[in-house]
Formats: sequence, C-alpha cells, structure tokens
Amino acid sequence: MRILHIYRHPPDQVTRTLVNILSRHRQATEFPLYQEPVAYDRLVSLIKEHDQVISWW
Amino acid sequence: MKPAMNCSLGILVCNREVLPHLLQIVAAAERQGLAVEIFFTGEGVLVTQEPRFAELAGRARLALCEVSFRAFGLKGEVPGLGYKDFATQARHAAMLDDCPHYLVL
Amino acid sequence: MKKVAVVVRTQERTYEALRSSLGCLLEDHQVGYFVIGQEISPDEAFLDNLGFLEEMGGRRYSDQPANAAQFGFTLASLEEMGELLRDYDIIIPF
Repeated sequence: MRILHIYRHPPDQVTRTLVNILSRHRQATEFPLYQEPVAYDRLVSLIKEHDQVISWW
Repeated sequence: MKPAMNCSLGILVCNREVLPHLLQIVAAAERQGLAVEIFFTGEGVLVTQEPRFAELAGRARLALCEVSFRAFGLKGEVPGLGYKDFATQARHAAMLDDCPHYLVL
Repeated sequence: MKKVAVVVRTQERTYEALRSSLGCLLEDHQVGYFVIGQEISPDEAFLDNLGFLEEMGGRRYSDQPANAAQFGFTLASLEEMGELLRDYDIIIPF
C-alpha cells in the first residue's frame, strides 16, 4: 500500500498525528503543495504511482 | 449522470483560492495523458467566477454543486459547463467510483 | 462501492461536509463523517441531514463529548479516529 500525503498548508499537530497513524506499515510519500515552486509534473506522477492520495488541509 | 468512462484523475474543489494550482495540475495531467474531471462544491464554486477559470473549458470535464452555487448568490452561465453540469453531490460521489486517482483542493 | 471518510475540522464546513457525505451514501458508498475539534451547532437543516446520514447507514465520529452526547456521534480520540481512517479507501479532508 503506497500512500501519498499532500499538504495544502503546513501540517499542524492534528494532521501530523493522523498522517503518522495512516502511514504505519505503509510506503508513505509527502508532498508540500504550499511550498513554491510547486513541481506539478512530479505531483501528477506521484498521484499516478500511489494507491491512496490524501490532500490534507 | 455518470462521468466520462475515461476519467483518470478526479478533483474535488472545496476551497476558493486554488485556481492557480488547478490550472497547473490540469496542464501537468494533459502532458501525462490523464483525463481530468473536476467537481466544485462549497466555497469552491467561487473559483468559477475568476477570469482565468475559462482556461479550464474543454480541457477537463467540469461540474458544480448547484446548491452551493446558489447559496453563494451566483447565477448565470459558467464557461465549460452545460446545464446538466449544474449538478448534485451525487455527481461527486460517482466521480469517486469512476476515477482511479482522486485529489482534493 | 468504496469506503469514504469525510473529515472536517472547521465549524463553517461541517454542513458542506455532511452534504458531501450524504451524496456519497446515495451512490452506495460506505461513509464515515468525522468531526475533529469542533462542537457542532446545527440548525434544523443540519439535524435533518444528520438524521438522513443515520437512516442511510452512515457512521459519525467525533472527539468532542458534546457531539456524542447531543447528536449521537461515536466518541473517539484523534488517535482512534486515525486508526479508523486506515480502513477507508478515500479520505476527504474537507
């Protein structure tokens, strides 16, 4: 199970807690959408490569 | 209504300041051969009022929540949307079934 | 059919998130509606929709005791909600 965490804003403690639990025993990748410049081609590639994508707040 | 069968990437837009991301993601998806479907709901419907929204027309299958659209006092036509694309939340739910990849903005 | 979790943290989005949850239920998805860190203050329309959620088999969870006591949410800590979310196909942070 490959899981991609996309952060629309810098993750706070609530988001971090959920991400840590959801990533346990899974192959997790993180993508900071709030950080310029955004590598959009890489983002779409990552979306294609992962089984689950979660766009956090 | 069922979304297009060739949808690859479904995007739910529920925030208002995401059009720059949306345009870039659609462009990247085009370069990688992914068909995109987008559903606008909540304050996300406000994105349809931005001048650059028209750049999405014809490049992704677009629909919005008509209840949200009216709740924000919006009316009139939206570039790239036919009358059937003023839809209900069921359209978004169908997108979840039909699009193998899914993103929220 | 997919397992869909709608997760909301801000008061002004609780109703929209609930409407999206209902839309998913109407398409035969299994739905969990998660409210984190907010005591809901529902109006009549919200309560009606919360009733529909229950009638259609949707689950609702919150870490707020008031939501559990007054509106039938299953009380769960943030960590418990995280464990529950592991079981969902699609997670929508609304």
